[in-house]
Amino acid sequence: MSIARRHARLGRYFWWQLHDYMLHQAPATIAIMLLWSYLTLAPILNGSMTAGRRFTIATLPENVVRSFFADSLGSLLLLATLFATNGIVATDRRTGFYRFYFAKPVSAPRFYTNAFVANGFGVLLVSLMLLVVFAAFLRPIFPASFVPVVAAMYLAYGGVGFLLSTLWRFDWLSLVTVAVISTIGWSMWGDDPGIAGILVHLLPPMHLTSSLYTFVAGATDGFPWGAQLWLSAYGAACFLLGLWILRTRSLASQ
Amino acid sequence: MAQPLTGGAFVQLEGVGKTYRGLRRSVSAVVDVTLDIGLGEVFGLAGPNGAGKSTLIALVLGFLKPTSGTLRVGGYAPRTFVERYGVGYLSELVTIPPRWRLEEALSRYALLAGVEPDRVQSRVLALVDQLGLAEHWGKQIRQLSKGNLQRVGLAQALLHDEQLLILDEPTHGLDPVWTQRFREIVGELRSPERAIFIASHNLDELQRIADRVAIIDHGRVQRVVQTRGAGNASVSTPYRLVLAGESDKVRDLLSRATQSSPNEFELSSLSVEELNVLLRALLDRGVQIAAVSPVYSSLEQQFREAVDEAGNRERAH
Repeated sequence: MSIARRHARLGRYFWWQLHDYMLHQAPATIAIMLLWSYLTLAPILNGSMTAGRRFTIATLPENVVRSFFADSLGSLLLLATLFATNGIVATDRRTGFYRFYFAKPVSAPRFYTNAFVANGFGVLLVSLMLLVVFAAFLRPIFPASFVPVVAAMYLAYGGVGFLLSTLWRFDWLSLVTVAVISTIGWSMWGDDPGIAGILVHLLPPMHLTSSLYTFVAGATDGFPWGAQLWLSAYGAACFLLGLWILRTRSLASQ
Repeated sequence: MAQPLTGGAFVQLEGVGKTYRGLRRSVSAVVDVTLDIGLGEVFGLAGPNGAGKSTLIALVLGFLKPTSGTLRVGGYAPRTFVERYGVGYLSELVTIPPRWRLEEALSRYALLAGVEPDRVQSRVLALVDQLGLAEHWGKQIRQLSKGNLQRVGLAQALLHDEQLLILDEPTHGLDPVWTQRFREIVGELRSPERAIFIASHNLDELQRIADRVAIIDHGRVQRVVQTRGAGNASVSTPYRLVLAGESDKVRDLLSRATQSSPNEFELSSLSVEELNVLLRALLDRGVQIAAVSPVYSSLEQQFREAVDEAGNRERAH
């Protein structure tokens, strides 16, 4: 009988978690993004949004392509992260899958950190796939900042999503709500010197995301380090808070 | 390896309580439970629905935190023990992601159980063979019947050679052949270095495989029954006695028995010793005994008494 201390083989299990993401969440993300791209580009190409002026892919102005790239990247990262972290903890609790996982020699924080990283790797793979599709059909844009920005945005949105998933089961709904409230809050009270301005600083800095996307798209100069660091730090803090909740809260609800 | 893992009580509960606090009311699921489970022991837990069995198991696994008392497993807090050594656990509801295939599920759980990656396949194959699951290889979990799913649940609990096995309603949904096989497996798993904790509604099963059985009701351990060894002989049980032929000449010996037909009697609770004294006296009078059997098992008798007493106490409160 083996009574020596041992650990779950999380390095190997990582590939199962990535497999789950690529099999279930990735196809939905890709399909929705392709549909979204078609619905955005079609009115420009057929002239219904450009006062009757028609374009082909080849004749699309550079500024339109770059603006489309930045918008696509923003939508992709919000959607992909939403899918990747939706129910990451809450689903196992609700369904009872946690029982067999956590009778094994593994802690919930380690297990879900593994899942968070595996899903993040999946989001990066999907983003790179869509980047290749973009290059094949529109223009070849391969910015060096692409990977760090995808990672930062996954951490920013995903950290909040992860935290919400440790708290309750309606995490996707609450993540969208938080994103909307943050966007509105920062636009209305971001520069307010009063209490509203202080409180809004507790919300995710969603107003900074567009500066990252436009830089990646090549529409602006000078990497927005402040935005990158603030978003990453905010997401990391939420993620760590989620791990602390996992460590201190009972795994079973009853 | 840490010293507390061997010797003495392996699972220790002292005054353990668990109360669920809601906005309007609180529910005490487990109240002041004190138990010791030793290595080498098969310990049973019996109780009616809602008695607190699953909550007690969740506490031992560290899935829940007690609101009072202390709980140690192998000398550690439950979660610490589980995260360091793992536990072979079969839950009452076998919940495995339904899209996983049988071999995929077991391979995944094997990695989580700490089985070396190059041994995962052979371990999975061995358990699939041991539990008769080979014909279901390649099937998704959702395609399995209740009994087969139960066997998959048991297989994942046995992936690693665990020192502590916790089986919650292990024969639920199993047919008689696999129920029997399960008993054999528990027999094979018995070891001086392992503690086996089984919760079940099936008292006959617990009587057969457990060394001791705790009867729990209303969240409290009402009594602990010794089901194996010398203690068993002292347990009083009612018996059904069937005589072959004339019973009138032993009427005096059976004065306290209830006669249900000319040659059939129900004897009020007797210990094994008392039963044998009576049977010897009957044989000495030249009466032939056609059959003698317990009306219900000693554990069942104890269970009825414990649950009735607990119910009366609750009503009195």
